[in-house]
Amino acid sequence: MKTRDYRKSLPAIAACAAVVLAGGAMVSSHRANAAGPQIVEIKAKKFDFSPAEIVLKKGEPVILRLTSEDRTHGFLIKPLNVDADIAPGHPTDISLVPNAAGEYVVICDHYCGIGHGNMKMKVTVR
Amino acid sequence: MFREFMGPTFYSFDHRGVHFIALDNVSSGKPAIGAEQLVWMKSDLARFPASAPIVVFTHRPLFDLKPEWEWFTSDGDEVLDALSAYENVTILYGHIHRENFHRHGGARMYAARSLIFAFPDPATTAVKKPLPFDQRAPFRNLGLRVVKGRNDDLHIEDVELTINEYSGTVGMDRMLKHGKADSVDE
Repeated sequence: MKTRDYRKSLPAIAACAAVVLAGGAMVSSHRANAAGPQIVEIKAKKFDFSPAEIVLKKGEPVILRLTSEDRTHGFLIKPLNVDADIAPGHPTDISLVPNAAGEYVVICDHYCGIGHGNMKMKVTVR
Repeated sequence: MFREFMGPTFYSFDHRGVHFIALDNVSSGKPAIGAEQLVWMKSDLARFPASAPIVVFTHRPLFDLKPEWEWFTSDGDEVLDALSAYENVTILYGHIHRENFHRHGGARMYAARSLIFAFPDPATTAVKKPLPFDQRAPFRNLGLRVVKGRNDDLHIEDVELTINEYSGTVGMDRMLKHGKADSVDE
């Protein structure tokens, strides 16, 4: 599993008390261990991320666990300096501590097909 | 296959005293130039004096025009830093399917309209979606942009598309003759 630790270089993202789908439904998340950061799972496939939105808590560490169901996708949050590739069969972990509240657009920045240009999701930090 | 038949995707050449550099920030799948091209470009530039006129071609913009729409190049600032030592730099790019002018230091960057469809102004909408085709004005928001002159005497000419009985180079020549002059900068 690839792991990238952004905690030293990022204005951080916060751990998430709840992971919420765009429609408002809760999805499951879990902790790596009792004392560790919360793990939020995000799946990528042409041409969507699932869930389409996550809500993170400012100042709390979180691990974004990224997986791809079909081909290599990108995962870019440019204002937070997060830029990862997600290869199928190789989950990618991103460790974050979000310090700045706001709404961030995540885009796939690894060309994946004709619908690539609108493959995105939202990260809200509160 | 492209490289097999057409050659490298980044290269340079000289023409009438102007040094041209083509950079590839699209075919890797990522909006990036990459270390190999950066090293090559710096080496390529090293033999020219600061006053040399330089034209750079890229697909994506080298600056953060609209990152949420993938209108940027992740290491574009490194390219611009390398070019900052030169006094006469013009950068021509595409990708955004609309006109744009941006200045970074002494470098002037121009994008032209597309020939197939147009994107909206990202300042007016959050939705990245091609502008709808208008049957009554099929060439609206489409066209060519011609950059003429050199150094500080650049002149921009926007060329409207028309239905043309000729194709290929003859058709292009006829279309350019019908172009109208436009302002130097936006």
